[in-house]
Amino acid sequence: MLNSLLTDLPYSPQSITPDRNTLTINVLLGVSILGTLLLAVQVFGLTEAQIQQLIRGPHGGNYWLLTSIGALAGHSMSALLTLVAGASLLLFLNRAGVVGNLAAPELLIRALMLLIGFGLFNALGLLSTNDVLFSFAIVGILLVACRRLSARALLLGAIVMGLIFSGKSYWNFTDQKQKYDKYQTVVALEKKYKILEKKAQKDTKTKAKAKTPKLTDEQQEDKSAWEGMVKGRQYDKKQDEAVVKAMRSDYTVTWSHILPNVQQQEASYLYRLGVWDIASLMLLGMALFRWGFFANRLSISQQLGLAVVGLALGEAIYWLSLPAYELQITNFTNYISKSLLPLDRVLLPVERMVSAVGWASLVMVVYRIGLIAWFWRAVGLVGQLGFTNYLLQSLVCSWFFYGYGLGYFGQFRLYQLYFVVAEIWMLQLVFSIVWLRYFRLGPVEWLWLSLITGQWQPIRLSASALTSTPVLS
Amino acid sequence: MESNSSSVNISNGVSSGAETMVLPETPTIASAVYDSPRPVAKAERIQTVDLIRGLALLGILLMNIPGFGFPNTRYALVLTGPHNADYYALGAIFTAFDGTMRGLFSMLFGAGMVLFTSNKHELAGGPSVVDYYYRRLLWLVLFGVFNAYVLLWFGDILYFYGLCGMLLYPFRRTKPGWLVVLALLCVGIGLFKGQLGWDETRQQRADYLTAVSAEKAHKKLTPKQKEAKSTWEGIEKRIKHDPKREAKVLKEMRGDYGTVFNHLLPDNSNGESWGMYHGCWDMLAMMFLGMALLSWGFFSNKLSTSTYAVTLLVGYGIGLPLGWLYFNDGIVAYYKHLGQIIDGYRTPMFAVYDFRRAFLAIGHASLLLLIYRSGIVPWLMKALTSVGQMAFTNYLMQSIICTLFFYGYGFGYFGKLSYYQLYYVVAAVWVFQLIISPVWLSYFRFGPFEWLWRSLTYWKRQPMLLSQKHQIEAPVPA
Repeated sequence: MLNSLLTDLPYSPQSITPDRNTLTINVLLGVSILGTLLLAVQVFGLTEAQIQQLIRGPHGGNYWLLTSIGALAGHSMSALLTLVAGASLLLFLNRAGVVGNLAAPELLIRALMLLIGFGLFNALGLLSTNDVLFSFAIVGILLVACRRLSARALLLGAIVMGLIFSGKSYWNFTDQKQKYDKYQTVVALEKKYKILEKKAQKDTKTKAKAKTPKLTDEQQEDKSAWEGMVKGRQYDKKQDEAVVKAMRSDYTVTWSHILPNVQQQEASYLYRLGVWDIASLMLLGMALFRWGFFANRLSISQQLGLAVVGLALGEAIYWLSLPAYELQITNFTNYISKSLLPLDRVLLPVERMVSAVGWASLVMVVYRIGLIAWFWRAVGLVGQLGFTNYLLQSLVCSWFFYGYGLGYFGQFRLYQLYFVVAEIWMLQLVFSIVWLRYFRLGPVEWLWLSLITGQWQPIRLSASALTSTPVLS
Repeated sequence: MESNSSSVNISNGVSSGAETMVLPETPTIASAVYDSPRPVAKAERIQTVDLIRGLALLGILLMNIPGFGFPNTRYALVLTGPHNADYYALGAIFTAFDGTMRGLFSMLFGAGMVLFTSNKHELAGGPSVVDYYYRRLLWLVLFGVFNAYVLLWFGDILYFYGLCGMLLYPFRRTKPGWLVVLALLCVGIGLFKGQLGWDETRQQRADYLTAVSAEKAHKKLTPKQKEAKSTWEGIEKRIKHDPKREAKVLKEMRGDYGTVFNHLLPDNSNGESWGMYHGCWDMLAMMFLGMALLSWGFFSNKLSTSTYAVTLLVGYGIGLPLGWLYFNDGIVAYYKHLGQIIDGYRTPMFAVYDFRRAFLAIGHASLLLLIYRSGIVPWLMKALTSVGQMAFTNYLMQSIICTLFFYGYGFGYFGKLSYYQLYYVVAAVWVFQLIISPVWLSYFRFGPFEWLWRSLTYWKRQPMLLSQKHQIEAPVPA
């Protein structure tokens, strides 16, 4: 998202003619922004329980649609988006010029700090429950310190971050296993006590009252801890209906309903797992950028090879870990007690990395050999307006699905969601082409850039790209 | 100027900061960046920043010591019980110090950021101050994680300072007036969030009251009413003394390392995630204020004695009464009559927290600077300056000493001292740090953790020993 902005930084002399990196990254950004909608639309349009019911229930067409979208775009598109975001951090630093007394790193830090605010707006204003801007901005700021690392060090960093993600996931898993074991002991104990109690009742006729042991508070807690965990993962029709009702109510009700989810993601999830996932992919993107990946360092045939290997490996991991993922939803107890490894979590970083690289390579190959060139031009424009388009998706989806708009939340079958996706794709392609015919910057990019530099930036294409008008001063 | 850098004296005071240090003769990356020798007057000026940081560092232990050695549930006993030594100690500490030393520390952290980044050239091509600044803070975040998860101090602040510091960089040249506006804005956001929380609690209380009155009228409670009732009862239970819970806490904190680790794990991870998410305003506000105070010359001993006298009077004059209100009508009342407080006040008394601690912190700093100027206790001032110069080491040392003293894998004194007795431990740590810091600095350039941090930041082993030659040139209090 940064790239579209940066190429248009008026003070950067190199930016008049966009370089190879920028062109590639714009296309990849366009692909990933359009691609992430495939998954995002499920979150906008249906409850989590409704999606999970497709897995729990008999496997019909919608189940296979869900699974194949998972295979094609599920983890890979958001991974590609993260990777490209990482790469555009370095692109920004490489290409941004000096504005006033603000050098490139400072512009970047300002951009990222403002992005935190835009992310909060996306989540708490447009009510998107799967905002990435907030997390990207925070991890981006953390990675500013890594901007001078070599490609090799960046790659190493990416791998270490991925390993931490896997390690922490495994740790959570063993933690849950322990909870299950404790529950098992308590249940066994309880059985024993019940038998004793029955015996005691018989005995009371003959003897004085015999004391039967009871579960201690701690044992009760162990029991209910596990029971709560299992119950939270079961389908609860009442709760599901309550969610649908809240999402179809007016703005304030929907707002209060999603607030805890958003905060959970922004504070807790980001801290526990999100940061490692995002950092690993951003570092990978930075490593690839440094190495020249986006400037066509690989020959077309090499790139094709990478695409095949990356996508094949990604698919293999997806299908390998799918049973584990589904078992977690259909039978959580078995998932915890019977499996050795939480495959779906532990392999996730690898899957995300290889499939993101695979997709990037595939797109680059098709783009480079000039197949459907007009299409890639349009996608590149979507990428150039990446930030605007990303927020536009939230705006359109929340208006379409939530109660203060058309209120279709929870009303569609899964496949019907994809008509909405097709509409939005078309809308965004046309919008981007038309808008960029008249303007240099998207509306959000324009606002962002003006806030970063502290000066109103020219937005119309006719205005000279080399001057900015200090309206505010 | 650049060639003269054999004895360039820089002070960069981020948090631990102010390592008044001498660069090695061998050209390092650093000598290319910091190219101007610092005049003696400037070195002098930095000393008072170290001095105040020393005070803040020691003062922080006043507020931290209960966290190390006193079970939380016992506060209810002290606050609602007879007015004994514990009660008065708690009252005095909360009135005069709660949040103030942390506040002063945050202010100096903000000031240190300005000192670190100012007057340093951005060189095209090479690593520049922005790189060192962000690397330094990323390491600080990791040191914070180390302090929390390895040394097991759940009250760690380094993690938070590292992250908040990353947001300060674009404001390093902002004018002091705007910095104060920013500080007020942060306080405002904090107040707003606090008010939202208070409103929610009030709602929970109101729901509870309706449920109870329905019960009294012998109506059957709806599931929602039942829930409201148990929610409120849970809140009340949480601030009551609970011997069962306390026994569990005592057992775990006196257990082995693994047990203590697991016991503190939720505190640590909730603190670093939720605490940062909701609480960063608290720190950012004081950091901005500190940056403003630095550029007004407050920390650098540049104001007139009468000005410091005025800031002392205003700081204490407003801060102490507010502090008393905060303690007596805030904390004590909250523990004693929670229900009535919630019913009776639309805004919590805790809202004065930030104002009160800002005034008190300025009061404390003014008092210290006046003592410094009067020259009554020069030895103490020197020792405090050394403590401040080694603030990072001293901060971590407090974690090491206190966890080993109180936790089960050390001497296991957790919960064995009454509240006021904790301050004997504080006094002992203070004496120890006041003695060891100047002694250490007469042999070495930095404290051990400062050295480690610096070496990691520059990714190069930094010289540690203070050679004879440097001893003469460096303004290190011996």
